[in-house]
Amino acid sequence: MSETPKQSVQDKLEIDAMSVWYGETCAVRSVTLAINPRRITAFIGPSGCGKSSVLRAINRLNDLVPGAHVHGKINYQGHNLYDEQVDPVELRRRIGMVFQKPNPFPKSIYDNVAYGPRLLGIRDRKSLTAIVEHSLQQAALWDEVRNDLHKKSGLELSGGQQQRLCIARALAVEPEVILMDEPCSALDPIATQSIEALMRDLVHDYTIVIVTHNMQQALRVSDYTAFFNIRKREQDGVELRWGELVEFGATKQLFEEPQHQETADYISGRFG
Amino acid sequence: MATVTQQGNRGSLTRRQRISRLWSRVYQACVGLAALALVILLLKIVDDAFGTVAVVNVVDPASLVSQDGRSIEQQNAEELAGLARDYLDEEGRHFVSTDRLFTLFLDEVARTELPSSALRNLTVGQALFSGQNFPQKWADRTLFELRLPDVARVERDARARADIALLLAGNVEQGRLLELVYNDIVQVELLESWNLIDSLTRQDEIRARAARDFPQATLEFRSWLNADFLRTPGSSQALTSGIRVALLGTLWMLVIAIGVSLPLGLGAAIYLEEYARHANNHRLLRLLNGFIETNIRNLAGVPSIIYGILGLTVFVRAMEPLTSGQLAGVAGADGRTILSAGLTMALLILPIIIINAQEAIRAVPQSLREGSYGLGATQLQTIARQVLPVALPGMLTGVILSVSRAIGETAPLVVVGAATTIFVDPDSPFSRFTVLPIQIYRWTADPREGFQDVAAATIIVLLLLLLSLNASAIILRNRYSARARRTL
Repeated sequence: MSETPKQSVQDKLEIDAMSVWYGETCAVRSVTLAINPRRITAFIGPSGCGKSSVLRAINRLNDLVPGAHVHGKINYQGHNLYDEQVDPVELRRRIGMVFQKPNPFPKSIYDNVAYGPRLLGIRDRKSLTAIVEHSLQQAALWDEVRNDLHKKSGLELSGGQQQRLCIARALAVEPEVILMDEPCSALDPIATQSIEALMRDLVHDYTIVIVTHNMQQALRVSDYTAFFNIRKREQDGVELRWGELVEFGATKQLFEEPQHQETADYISGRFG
Repeated sequence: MATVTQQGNRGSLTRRQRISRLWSRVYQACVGLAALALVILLLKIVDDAFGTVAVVNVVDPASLVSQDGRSIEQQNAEELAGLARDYLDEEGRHFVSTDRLFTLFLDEVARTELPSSALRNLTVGQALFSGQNFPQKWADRTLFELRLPDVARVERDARARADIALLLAGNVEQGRLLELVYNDIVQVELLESWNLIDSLTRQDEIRARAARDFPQATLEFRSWLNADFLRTPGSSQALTSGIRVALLGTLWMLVIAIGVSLPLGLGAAIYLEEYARHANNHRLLRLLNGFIETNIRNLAGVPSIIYGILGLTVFVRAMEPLTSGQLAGVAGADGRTILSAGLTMALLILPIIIINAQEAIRAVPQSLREGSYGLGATQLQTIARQVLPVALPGMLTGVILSVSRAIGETAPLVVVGAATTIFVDPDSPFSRFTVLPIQIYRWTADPREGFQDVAAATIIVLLLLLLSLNASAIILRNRYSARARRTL
């Protein structure tokens, strides 16, 4: 980093003309948007519009999918994340991920949360315990599990607790950004509520990007919303489908005064 | 609109129910036939392995009483040694053979815990018989020389016979001499053996026949499967035959086969599942990986005799210096050793281990890997900490199943050169060997009275081994699937 721009500008995640491909198929084309630090940005849109692909491209989880490739840039802290010098392993530690289906490891609660710190080489029992406690507190799970840390497997928790455990696990490696891929779609309304409240708490310290199918959720929790939609074209008798970013702006503005007819149709429930 | 009681185009309800019943009977019959076949097989084996035998002593113990009328149990070592001397048999066919004496001496010396290769070159005078209880002229002879023509020659010489009696009396305990007299002089000879079912249903007939044909013989009920059967090596007599050597051979072979194929197989499976499909791989490499994977599946179906021929060419012949133990400094004769057999078997079970391990790795939910990568784990860390622990029980199931396959294989070992007659325990990877199925094969083909029964007892041992292995595989798998259900 030769220059030191202002903190807020530097921590911005700038997605610049990015396209995600799976083999010969384009999932999402030419997305440009900037994700503001310490804010919640929601990606909404119908199934297949590429919002999850964009999310997974941010911490390069798409690298694991055979045949997946990304064009364009994502600038973060003065680097293009797809540069050759960027280590995807270190990147994923700094940009954490919470998945659609809670996926605790088949280990104790303690070992689940301590997994990340241990990967980083922290062996000292005392520091590990401190990290586990702090992370579980941040994820509002501490009071419910404090007596079962070693006794219970992460898999024995309820769905909502499991998802909060996954959030605690992500927090334990002290990321800067947390990506959430439909974190509440497998949960009941009460568990959803607690996760949403948790997001509002966490946003004071973290940048959060959430993919959601639930427009009410986007409206409730996010500061900014990006609406993606599907584009189709007939070519040689084959129908090609891909996603595109339609509109991006402050959530309130996007829901109250959408700039595009498509957006208005979608948020009013006319399709999707 | 049709009501629910109206018939569609499927025919009447009663007809449909009749057809359904008929087919369920057909399926039941299939199960029944399969079960029947199994029951018949087991019955046949059990029928052979137990039953009445007519036995007679070759030498009546009554003729061996001492002059003052004491039975052989009451005689001392000196008197028993005298008996052994009297019945020393040059050909070693009927009574006490020189080979037998040699092993007896070796056993005595073996208590000093010397390796058997060192024993051969030990002289009689060295540490062997406490320095006194042998004729002075033998002091400088090695044990090996004692065994060969020297002793055979002295048999004809009354004074040399006396020397041998002295040697026995002075160095071998009374108990062991008594055993020698029982096994080699008195000897129990098998005249006829009846199956279990006959023994139970036609007792009177059997008794009548035995009284008519073998008036000397005693009838007794015998379990061919007994503790001695597991402990003793093979023999030319069905009554004294055991499977010790074959059992040890099977164990040695398994240890070598698993030792080689387990790391290779698990490594290959990890590569194929976790690395081969990697997006960054060159297209050609991915093509090659796909080709390899297909062919591993094909290899699992190759007839085992082909593996035997491969083993013969590669391990027995091409790698003879290694497999015969020449490189390790063992003066082995050729490559037909337990090492060659183990390596051949390792090749044979390798595809099975790989395929099962692949399935186990594939069954690990992708969400676990993503969760791990998402926290900044490297690929190695993800494999070691997430994939392997979850896949391990499934992998082990595959290993155990392949062990059961290896235990039962016969054909490739015949080609690789399993010995048919061998009485010495395998004590290194470079030993000659035999295994349980080979013994079964040999004994089944042996026309002499009783060997069918010995084969049946061996089959029971083999089946028990197989059953216990399969049972442990099932237990492992159940545990595994219970855990997998909780994960998903």
